[in-house]
Amino acid sequence: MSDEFVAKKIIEGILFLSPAPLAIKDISSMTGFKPSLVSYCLKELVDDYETRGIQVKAVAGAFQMTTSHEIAPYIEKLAAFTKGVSLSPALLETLSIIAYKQPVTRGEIEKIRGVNVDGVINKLLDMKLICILGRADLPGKPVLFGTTKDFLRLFGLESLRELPDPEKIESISNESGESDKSDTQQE
Amino acid sequence: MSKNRVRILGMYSVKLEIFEGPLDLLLHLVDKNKLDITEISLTKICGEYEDYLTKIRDLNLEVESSFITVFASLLEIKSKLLLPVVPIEKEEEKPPSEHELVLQLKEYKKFKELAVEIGKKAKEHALCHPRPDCTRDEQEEIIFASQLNAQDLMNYYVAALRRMNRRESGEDVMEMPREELSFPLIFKIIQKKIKIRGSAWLHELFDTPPDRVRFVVTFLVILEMARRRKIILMQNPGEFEINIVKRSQVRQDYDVDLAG
Repeated sequence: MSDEFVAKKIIEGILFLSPAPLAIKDISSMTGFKPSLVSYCLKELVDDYETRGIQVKAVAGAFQMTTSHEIAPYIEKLAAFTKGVSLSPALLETLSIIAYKQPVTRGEIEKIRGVNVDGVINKLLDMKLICILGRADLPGKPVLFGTTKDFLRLFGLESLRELPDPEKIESISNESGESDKSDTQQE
Repeated sequence: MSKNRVRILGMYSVKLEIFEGPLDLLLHLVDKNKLDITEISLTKICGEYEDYLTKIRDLNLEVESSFITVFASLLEIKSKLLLPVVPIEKEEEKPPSEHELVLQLKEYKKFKELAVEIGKKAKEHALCHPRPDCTRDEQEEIIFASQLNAQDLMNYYVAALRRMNRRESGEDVMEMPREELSFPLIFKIIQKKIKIRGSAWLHELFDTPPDRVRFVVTFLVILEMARRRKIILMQNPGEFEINIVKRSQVRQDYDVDLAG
């Protein structure tokens, strides 16, 4: 048996038993495998489970075994699961603007939405879906907002690159001429 | 997209759609009339937009003004289109730039669509269930081992206070500004102390020499934590000090009858 084969088995077992998502470094320190090997095995496992009722899912940089969403109506008869947070259209719109345009000021968000967003921003801050990244070098030093890891967790995204339809928003990011979005990711 | 609200106006009720803002309304009108977002199409819905404006007269001033601002832009576009364009020589090839409102509306529409998309993502993810936590007990903080009974605790409390009195009377007491003590604060301090080792002696939780108020508050917090089954209070036979043990630590380190 090859090393990879054994490693994959071990990691599969760990994922199966772990109730919380595990980062590559967690698994690496647990098993003593090199992060590159862990990462390789995880990729394999993600592929292996792609067509199954169980999936290996990467969320916010950590891996977890979950049931696949298609079978949810059936397994929900087995046990009561907590329903996800439901977000109002106003929250979702504001959140999507922040997600795609971060770091972004309140003013920029209001310009796109055409309405005051104070209440919505405060709610999102309370929910820890957005955070303050710093202050823009503009008159009044406005606060810059960005999304948090909790945002990725809530939306089941591995990173901001997984946001839907990235090509759709090309024109937006070019406009503001910002740098790599993933750099601004903060907890 | 928009909620319906019924308003009572005199004898009859008017069903009024509430929009997120002027852009939301504009987008709704464009979609309703199956138009693209262009300057020309916006002028077509000018009338409908105005109708809505008259309906929201009694909303708050800030909301209304934002609708009026956009209405002003609409009128600006319309008036420009109505005015005859005097052809300027040579520069005809250059396409006229779109009005800011058109660009704004397009961008708003894009984000509105993206919002729906990421909303779907969240819904989908919420349907992916991880394994229930089977490595721990179903209820983490279930057991209260009353190694110390109420009488023991009271004895300790009285004795500790008496000791404190003795110490205080023996030296000049300096008045220090009293620190703000709160339940959550002490709670956190205790949790921090017992987090690493799994247990701590009660006296370790106080400043030395212990401040009376702090002692009382800490004692209350410990009682509360025990009540919530987060910790177990233990006392070795013949010893005065109380040992605070984190609930999850008990099974490993101590052979305790947890049912007691």
